Amino acid sequence: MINNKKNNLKGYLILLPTLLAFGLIIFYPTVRAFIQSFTNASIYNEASFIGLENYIKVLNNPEFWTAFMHTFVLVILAVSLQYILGMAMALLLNEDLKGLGWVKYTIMIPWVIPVASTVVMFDWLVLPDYGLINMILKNIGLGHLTRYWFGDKNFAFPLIVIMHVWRNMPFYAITLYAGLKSIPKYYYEAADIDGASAWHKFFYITLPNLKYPSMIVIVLHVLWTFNNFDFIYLSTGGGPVGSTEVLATQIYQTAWNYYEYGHASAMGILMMLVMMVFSIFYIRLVRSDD
Amino acid sequence: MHQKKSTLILKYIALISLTMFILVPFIWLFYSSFRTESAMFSGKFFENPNGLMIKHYFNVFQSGGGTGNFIGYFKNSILIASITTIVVVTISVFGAYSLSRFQLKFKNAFIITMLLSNMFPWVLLVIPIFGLLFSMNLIDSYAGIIFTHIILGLPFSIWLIKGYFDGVPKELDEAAMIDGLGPFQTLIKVILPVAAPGIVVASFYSFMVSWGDFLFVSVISQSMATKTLPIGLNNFFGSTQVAWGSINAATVISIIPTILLFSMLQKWIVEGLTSGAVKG
Repeated sequence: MINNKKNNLKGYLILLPTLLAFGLIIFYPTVRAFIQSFTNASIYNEASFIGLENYIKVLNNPEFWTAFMHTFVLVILAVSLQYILGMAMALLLNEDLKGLGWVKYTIMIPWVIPVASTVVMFDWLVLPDYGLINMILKNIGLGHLTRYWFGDKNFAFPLIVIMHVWRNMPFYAITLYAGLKSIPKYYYEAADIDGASAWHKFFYITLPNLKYPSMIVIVLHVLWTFNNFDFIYLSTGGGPVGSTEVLATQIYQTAWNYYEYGHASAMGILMMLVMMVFSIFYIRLVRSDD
Repeated sequence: MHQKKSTLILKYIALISLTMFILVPFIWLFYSSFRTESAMFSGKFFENPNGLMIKHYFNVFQSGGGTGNFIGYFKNSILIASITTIVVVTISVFGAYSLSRFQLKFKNAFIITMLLSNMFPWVLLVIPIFGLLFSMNLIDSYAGIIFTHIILGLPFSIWLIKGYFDGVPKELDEAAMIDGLGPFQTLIKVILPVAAPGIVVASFYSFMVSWGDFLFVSVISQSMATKTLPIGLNNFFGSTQVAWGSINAATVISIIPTILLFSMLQKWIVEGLTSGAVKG
């Protein structure tokens, strides 16, 4: 550890660009958004202070609560499906099966490509007559089920959940797989001697030993899903008839379609408060390990 | 250990289903991008009376194929993502070095706020950032977009590189000090070479988040001159006659750079990403 006074000054100096970047791009905007949330700032008028009016308006708006519920349901469905399928994939990767090297190599690809490209890909997949899904349905005699899945009030939301699962499940798989490899083999050997079943081994050895990586991926993705804007905005835009509207798309539209910056900021601050609870939980997890 | 044949078959079925779930959308897109429009819209899977062709790719590169100024978007994306990566990694190396090797007041508080900042709602921050860039006259400029992309990559990048720096034994620093190297030279000559994998992973991550960003560019870019690929892809849907041949080809092109980079650096990236989650 470099530890004299002169060197410490250097330590602060080389941290300066980092501090500056965070100050300008995170802290200043956050403070400004907080202040703005108490004003009627918009493209049409100079901002003047209006107290809690924006917050009262937001909390009394049923559309806000609908979007809030959608966000909540999306997070719960997407994250739990991702975890279950990711765990299944991780367990399979840990088995002695052929072709695994190749699978490990390809499954991360959904995670590295732009969300906008993913949306085009899925749109092309579910197109009314010529998308793969509808073509398959027609060919197996289920032609009456064909539809434009993104345009259907009942199916747009599940389809968005599927896109989230498609993108993030491999990340869970790889992380949990790394965790699996770090569990000592003799735990399982001891369990075998005791005649434990595969289920017992999973619930009493595997799952408890994966507690830490599991919590980390879950909390990270709860936040990511909460924050994600482009999946929904680019695929359905919140429709049809508001059935996929979430907080992120509602805030974006309030700010950039209606230019009500103050109103949008109040919604954003409320969203931030909810995310903050998860974040604090996450920090405690990360720090508790030091 | 012997497993029953039926369990083994079940495992293979599960593995193949999950892998197909990931791969089918890619395969269908890739295949479609080489089919003629009439084959794409024949409702048949394998019928290609006029064969497969690369016409859509030609169209996209020559005239944009009804997709706007595709080459321009591609160039913008490459430029913005590359500069963002260089800036993010440079800042991160210094920041991580400071946090890893110096005793600073408020260090823990800073690390915690850094972790927290990764979780602020971007849709909220983009509102005041727009105001800030407006007053700096940076709306609709590369600099303005890069400015916002820095923050997408920076928190994770510092966190990751700091982890690698922490793993470099302090004895190496001390040996360098005894040889008369200052902190800066120690960083460049001793620590960086050992922590190179961390730099690679952080670079890839920064490039990827900048390449994929839609939100910030959609607000800050106001003209063709600064639009990036994700915006371009989304614009195609706006046109009344959707040119699916060109869009599919354009989408394939938009995913190739990150997939190429990923496949070259795959081993390091997977290790770098998972070690953070497993070790903390």
